[in-house]
Amino acid sequence: MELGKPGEGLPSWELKLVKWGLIPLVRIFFTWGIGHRLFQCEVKRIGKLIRSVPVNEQQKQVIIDKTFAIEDHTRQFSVNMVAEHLTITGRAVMGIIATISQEKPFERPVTIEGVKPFENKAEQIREFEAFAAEYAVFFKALSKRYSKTTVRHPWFIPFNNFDWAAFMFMHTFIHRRQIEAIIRKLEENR
Amino acid sequence: MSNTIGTIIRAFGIMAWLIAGWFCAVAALYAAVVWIVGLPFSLGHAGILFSIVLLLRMVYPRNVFKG
Repeated sequence: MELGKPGEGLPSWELKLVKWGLIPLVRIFFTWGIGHRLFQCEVKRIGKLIRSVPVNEQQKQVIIDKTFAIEDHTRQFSVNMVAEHLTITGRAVMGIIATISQEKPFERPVTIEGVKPFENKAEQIREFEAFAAEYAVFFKALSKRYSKTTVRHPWFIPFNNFDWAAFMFMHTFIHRRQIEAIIRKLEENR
Repeated sequence: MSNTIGTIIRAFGIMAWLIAGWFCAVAALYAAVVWIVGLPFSLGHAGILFSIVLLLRMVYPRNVFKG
C-alpha cells in the first residue's frame, strides 16, 4: 500500500475542524492545570496499553485505518514508534515552551518531518515515561503567564506557551487513539 | 465505528465534560453567594452567569479566535 509522504499534512476538513473547533474550545475551557493533569492521565494510559502488547509485537509495524489528525504517513507505525514520536515531540514542545515563556524567539525550524520516529527500538515507553516525569518537574517550575511570543505549529496557527502546553495533551490523546488502533490491528493479525 | 469518528467523538466528549465542569464550578460559586445573602437559587441566573464567564474566557486572556 502506498502511503503519503512525511509532512504531507491533514485533509482540509480536519484542519478546519481543529482550527475553528478544537483550538478555540481548548483555549476557552482548558487551564494550565487541566491540560497538564489530562496529559499525565494519557501517559499512564499509554504505558498500560503498550505494556499490554507482547514484547515481540511492540516493534511490529502495521498499517491502520485513517485516524483523526494523523497524517497518512504515520499510519504505518508500531506502538514503540508512537512512543518514540511522543518522546521526540514532547521534548521539542518543552523546548519551545521554555524559550517563548521567556519571550525569546524560537530559532529552530518546527517541522513534522523533524519529529518522525527513526529508531523503533525496544522499551521506548520507558523513555517516554522518563520524559513525562521530566516535563512534570519543568511544568511545576514554569511561570504560568501567557507569552506574547508565539511559534507557529506547521499545520495550524501560531501558538503561545499556553497553547503549546495544551497541545501536549491533545497530541498525546490523538496518538493514544492511534496506539489503540495499532493494538486492534495486531490482535486481528494474530 | 471508524478510528476518525471515534476520535472526534471522544475529543468533543472531553470538551463537553469540561463545559459541564465549568458550569458546575460557576453554579457552585453562585449557590454559595445566594446562600450567604439569603436569596433563592435560580438555575436560569446560574446559566446567565455561566454565559458571562464563557464570553469573558473568549476574549481574556486572549482572543480565542485569533489565528
